[in-house]
Order: sequence, then C-alpha cells, then structure tokens
Amino acid sequence: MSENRRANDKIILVGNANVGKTTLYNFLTHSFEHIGNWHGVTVSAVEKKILYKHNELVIEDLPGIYSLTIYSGEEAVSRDSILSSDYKCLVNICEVNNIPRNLYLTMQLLELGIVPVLCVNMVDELKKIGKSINYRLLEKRLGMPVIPVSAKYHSDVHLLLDTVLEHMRSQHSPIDLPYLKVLPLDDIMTIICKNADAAGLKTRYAAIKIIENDSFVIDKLALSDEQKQVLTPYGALQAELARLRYDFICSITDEVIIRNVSEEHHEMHEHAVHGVPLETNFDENTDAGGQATTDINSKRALKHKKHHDKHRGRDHGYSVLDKVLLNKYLAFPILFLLFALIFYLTFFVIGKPVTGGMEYAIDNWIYAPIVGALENAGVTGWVVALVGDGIINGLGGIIIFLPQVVLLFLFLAFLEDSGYLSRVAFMTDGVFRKLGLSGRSVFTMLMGFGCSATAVLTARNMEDPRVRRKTVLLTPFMSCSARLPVYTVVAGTFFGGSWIIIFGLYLMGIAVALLLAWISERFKKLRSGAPNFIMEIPPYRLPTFSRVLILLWKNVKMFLIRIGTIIFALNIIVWLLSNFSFGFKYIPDDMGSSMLGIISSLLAPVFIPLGFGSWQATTGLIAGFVAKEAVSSTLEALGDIQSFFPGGVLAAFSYVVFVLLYVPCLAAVSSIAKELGGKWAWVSIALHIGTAYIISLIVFQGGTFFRWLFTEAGTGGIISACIVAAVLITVVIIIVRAVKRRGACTGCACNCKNNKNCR
Amino acid sequence: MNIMQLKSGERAIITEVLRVGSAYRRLLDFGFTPGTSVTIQTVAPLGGTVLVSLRGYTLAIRENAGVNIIVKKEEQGSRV
Repeated sequence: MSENRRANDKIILVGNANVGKTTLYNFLTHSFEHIGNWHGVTVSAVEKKILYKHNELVIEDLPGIYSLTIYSGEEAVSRDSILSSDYKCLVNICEVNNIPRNLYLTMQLLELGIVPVLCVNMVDELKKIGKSINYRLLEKRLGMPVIPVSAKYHSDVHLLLDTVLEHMRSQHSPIDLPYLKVLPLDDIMTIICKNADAAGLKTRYAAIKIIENDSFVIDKLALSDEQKQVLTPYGALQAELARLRYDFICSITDEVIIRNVSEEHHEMHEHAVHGVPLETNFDENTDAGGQATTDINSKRALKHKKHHDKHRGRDHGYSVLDKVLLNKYLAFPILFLLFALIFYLTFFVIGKPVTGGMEYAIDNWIYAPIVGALENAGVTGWVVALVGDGIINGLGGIIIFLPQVVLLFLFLAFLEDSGYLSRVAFMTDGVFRKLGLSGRSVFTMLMGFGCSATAVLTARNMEDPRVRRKTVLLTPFMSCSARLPVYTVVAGTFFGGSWIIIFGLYLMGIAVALLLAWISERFKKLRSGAPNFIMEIPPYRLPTFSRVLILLWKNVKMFLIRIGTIIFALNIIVWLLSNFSFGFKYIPDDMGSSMLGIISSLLAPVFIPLGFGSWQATTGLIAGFVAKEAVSSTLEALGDIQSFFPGGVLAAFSYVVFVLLYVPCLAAVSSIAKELGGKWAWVSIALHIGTAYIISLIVFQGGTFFRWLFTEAGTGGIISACIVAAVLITVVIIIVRAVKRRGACTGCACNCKNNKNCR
Repeated sequence: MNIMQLKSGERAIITEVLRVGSAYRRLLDFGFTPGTSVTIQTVAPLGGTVLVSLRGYTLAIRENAGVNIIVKKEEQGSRV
C-alpha cells in the first residue's frame, strides 16, 4: 500500500537546462543539491519525500532536457522518466527570459498527451527588460495551469505546490495542436500502429519521433526493412516540424508577452525627441525584418539607440561585460590573472595567517595539554604517542587547511554561479577543439579542483563517448582540494610556503592533462573525431547569500566527515604499523624496522631515480592511494619531514609533482569505474601512476642536471652540454621525420612515395 | 553563406540548416529554423567558435555545426 501510494504521488521536475530546476527542488525539499549557473549541472535523477499539507509527495529532480529526442547521456534519464508514467504530476519549468525555446519542450509533452503544470521561473528578471506576461492568457492558450515563480521566494513555491495538488486530483486532456494536422501523421500511424502497440508506445508520439529520426523510438518499434524504407522520406520533414512548433509557440508568445507601458512610453519619447526608429515588433524571430524603418542618420539618434539597446538587453545571455571579458586580446590574460588572484588570496593573504594561527592553537591548546595530562596520569608511553602524534598531529595537520579549502570552494562556486565558467568554456574551446575535447570538458575539469571523484560524474553530459572518456581520464590531473595539504606541508618545509609554487602545481596539472590530450590526438585509435559543441551561454548572475552559506556548510561538512572517518582510521593504522615491529614490539626510535618500514622499504627503491627513496615518503604515497590528504598526515605522523627527503628541495618538489599526478584516491577510481567500466579504471590507474613517474623523473633528473650545469660544470661543461643537446635534438628531429614519412621511401633523399620509383 | 562567415555584431536570417552532422536535430531543437534571425555576438579569441544570439538567447557554437547554418544577410538600412 505504502509503495503504491508513493508511486502515485510522485512529482517530476522537467525543463531545459539551467532554468532553475534544482534550485526549486532544493527549495521544495530543503535539500542541498549542487547548483550552478551553467547548463548541465544535474546529471542524474534525485528524489526526496516531503510532507505538504498532509500530503506525502515525492519530488524528483531531473537533468535538463531540450527535446524528447535526446542528445547526450544524462538526457536519457529525463526522457525515460517522462515516458514512464509512474508519476502523478509533471512540473514543466520554464525560464522567463527564454519562453519560446522552453515551450518547445512543452509542445512535445503535449504531443505525448501529458498536461504539465507550467512553472515560469525567474519572473523577477522580466521586469528588468521592461516586459510582462499575461499569465492567465498563457494558461488559456496552452490549456494548462501556469504559475509564475521566483524560486527565491517561499510564497511562490507554496502556490506552485497548491496548484500541483489540485492538478493531480483532476483529469486533463491536452489542447489540440493545430500544427500536427499539417503533417502526414495519419499515414505514418497506419504504417507503425502495430509496432507501437507491441512496444508500448503511444502511436502519435512514435509517428512524430519517426519524423524526427529518433533512433531510440525507431529501435523500440522494431520496424521491418520494408517499413523502414517506406518511412525514410518522412525524415525530411524534421525541419518543417521544428518550424511548425516554433511558429505555433510564437503565435502564443506574441500574444501573451507584452511590453510595459513605461517601456512603450520611453520608446515613444526616444522616437519623437531623438529620432530613434520605432521597434515595430519586439519579437525579432519573425520575418518582420524586411520592414525597414527610418534610417538612423544623426549621431545623436545612434547614441540614443545604443543606450536603448543596452537598456533593453534584448539578447539574453550576452552582456556588455562580455565585450571586455571575451575580448580577443584580453580574454586569456584576464582568465589567468583571475586565477592567480584567487590563489594569491586563498593561499597567501588569507590562507597563510589563518592556517598559521590554527596550527599554533592546535599545538598549544590541544596537543600540549592533552599529551601532558596523559603523561601525568601515567598512561603507557605508546598510547600517549598514538594520541599525540598519530591522532592529534596527524589530523590537526589537515584540519588547519580547512579555511583554504573552503575559500577555494567559494571562489570556484562564485565562478560557477556568476556564469563566467560558461564563458571560459567558450573562449578555451579553440584549444580544446584541437585537443579533441569539448568546451564542456572545462566544467568537469574545473570541478576537479574541488573533488576528482564527484567531478568525474559531471562528464555524463558530454555527447561524444570518446570525448567523455578522455575528459574522465584527464580530470584527476586537476589538483583536487585533498592534495592541498600535501603541497602546503611540503612547500612550507622546503619552499617557505610560497603560493606561487602551489599555483605552479595547479598549472602543471592542467598542462599535463592538455599535453596528454594532445598526445592521444596523435593516435588514430584514440582520436575523438570532430565533437560538437553547442552550449547555451547563461546571463551573469550574482550568487545569493544563502547559496554561499549552503555551499560553505556543505564543504566544511564534507571535509570534516572525511577527516573524522577515513583519514582518522588511516592515520591510526599507519601509526600502529610504523611504530610496531612484526613481533608486536613498540619501537618508536627504530621505525625503519617496523612493519610499515619493512614493507615500504621493499617498494622505496623504485622511487630512488625520482629523488625520494626513503621508506617514509613511500608510506605517504601508499596512504595517499586511499585518500590524498593522508599523504601529509602520514608524513607528519612519521616525524621530521625534512629528513625524508635527503635529495633536498628538488626531491621534495619531485615528490609533490608525483602526488599531484598519481591516482587521486580510491573514491575517484571507483567513480571512473562507474562512468567508464572496470577496464578503464585500471587504465586510469596505470595512466596516472605512469605519468606521475615519468614527469617526476624528468623534474628530478632534469633539475639535478641543471644544478650540476650551473654550479659545478663551469663553461666547459655548459658548452659540452649544449653540444650534447644539439646532437640529441637533431637525432629526435630525424627520427620524427622518419616516422612521419613512414611508408615513403627511406632509401633516397627524394620524397618519392615508394621504392619503385626511386632514383 | 553560413554563420561562420559573418563578422561580430552582424545579423542575418537563416535560410536553411543543412541536414548533415550529428548536431542537425539539436540545432532545430534550439530554434535554428528558416526565417529566424541570428546575430553573431563575438568570435572566440582563438577562432572557430562563435557566440550567436537567436530568439532572445545566446549559444556558443563550434565551427563544425555552424557551417551547416546557411544564412542571408539582412539588407542595408533595415533594423539593426
């Protein structure tokens, strides 16, 4: 009974991407699902039960969808939910700035026989552009309840729920869609009706999808070759169908979207006084363009017209700010400076003093009193050491980075919410295109700065499977927040805590990812082909205060939970294994012969070429495989960090590079396995460890070589090094050219294609 | 001409969307239907991708899909 009831009262939220579905969902269910001002934030369905006026309702939030004929993986989730009829009410969410395109999906719902509740979101933004909507008329024309809301206000949300409850209790039939009569749907329906019945699809819906060449429906119908042949010509009507839908929508919106009186008045004033041409029809998508209005000849009129256009903001999304931020020459310097500023603020201006203060507080107010009290109470030596070094120092060493991590998340969230992130995707698309990635990869990779494991899941909105695979494999190279403590601890010991080193490491992660993408494009088997990139650009918006608070809380919680569970357990295990020998003897002064010391020593020689062959450093890497923060807590628990790196600064740098690039953590590996399958998870492990090893090797050996060159070798050494380098480069060039000319004749200097015509 | 041949700030009317490439249906869904007027807002700093406004909103489109959108420029002196 209860299961049945649950299914009956399900409400699904459907709509285009970035119209505020998840914001509304969070409001309805008091949840904290991730939101952002870009398209495709939500990639899987989430649901939650709520109680509203004694009704149990299950609200389900779905990924954004533009059409029932899907395009990328996450849209399938939404389509399947819409097609399954286990919900009682469908709430179709629209964005007020973009009604025609939003209604395109609504038309398809009506075609399917579903009467949704139309929720027009962000109504407060409409006023700014001087328009208003006749909602009652819209309701009448569409034959469905229309609720204007601003998801920021509770009262609106209640009104929506009331309407939904009422809507659920009555029967509705969709309005007649006049444009369907123009199409030869009857012909198609006669051909496919049996197949549609067998497949459990509505015949009219299936017929429409035949016109749209929807492979999902066509596969489901299991058409015979003969039928397919008859139906193929109907596919040519696809563009006509889209046009008919849009024309019908525009016939409605032209009627219901009206300009405010003040706006009309303003225009009349501009026209009469300054000679600005009148806007005959504010909706520019019809062929009214042919009607040429008065020429703008005076400079003054032009000036006023400019002001006029800016004032109206007629093309939603592109703003004046973009003239600067997307400027041909300024775009990249601004991007770079912005990120440098974020890092400077996070790690230097705010991070360093706060972290220092917390370190002091933990040492003096937590560590000292507790260890002192335990010693006074006569507790066994190893227990005191376990609590002091293993737990307090280990965990404290990570907790002090909380402010920096939170700050970085805040900045990332600001980029996400403001809409700048979509611009970054747009302006870097040129680079990404050459690397066989989609501009959408930017989102996943940027999320990777927060947490690799969750970022990987956002790749689901990419349509091309190869691009998606590549993005998933490369995202862990983005330095996630768990790696931060490692850099800061090691950088603090060796580089005086310089923020530039940390910024450099972040850049290095990006560079390595892009380099690998470039390399994989060189191989035919891995090449992505020509992926599409069509993405809506959202308008700039300011994040709300509550959103910032929610975000802060969410990240602090996640950080603390990680420390309290996995890191805590790991720390105790590492401490015990490194302080006890195989004979279970407590040996704090001879950790090298402890259990962990012996195990790690076996592996340690592998890292000698990279400069960090000590068993402690190796132990850190092993612990880091489970969670990256554990690298720093392990190092801190094992004693003096400086002594683990006999190779000095260079070895320490090589170590952080290795930490940056190798497998992020078990959680990320399992996310990758979930997205790409187990085989690719193994590939990712091999790829990440391999890359880390090679790059660290280059860093350490190259660095050692240069140090030798500049300190000991002298002039003779430099000259000989130059000669060696020149010879090496020549050899490489010759080999590369030979490989490039593979298949061509190698026997002679001419460029003939094969040996037959060789001179 | 196709929309990739337009300059920043230029406006044109779609005459046809070529039925090639995997993006065809998505372009139709987004409202690229014949008779719709489009404006190129800006070209990406590295080229190859444009920001195009239509029906009151803005999209980023990569070259491989953009070349399939055939347009004709609006006559001089008409609404800008």
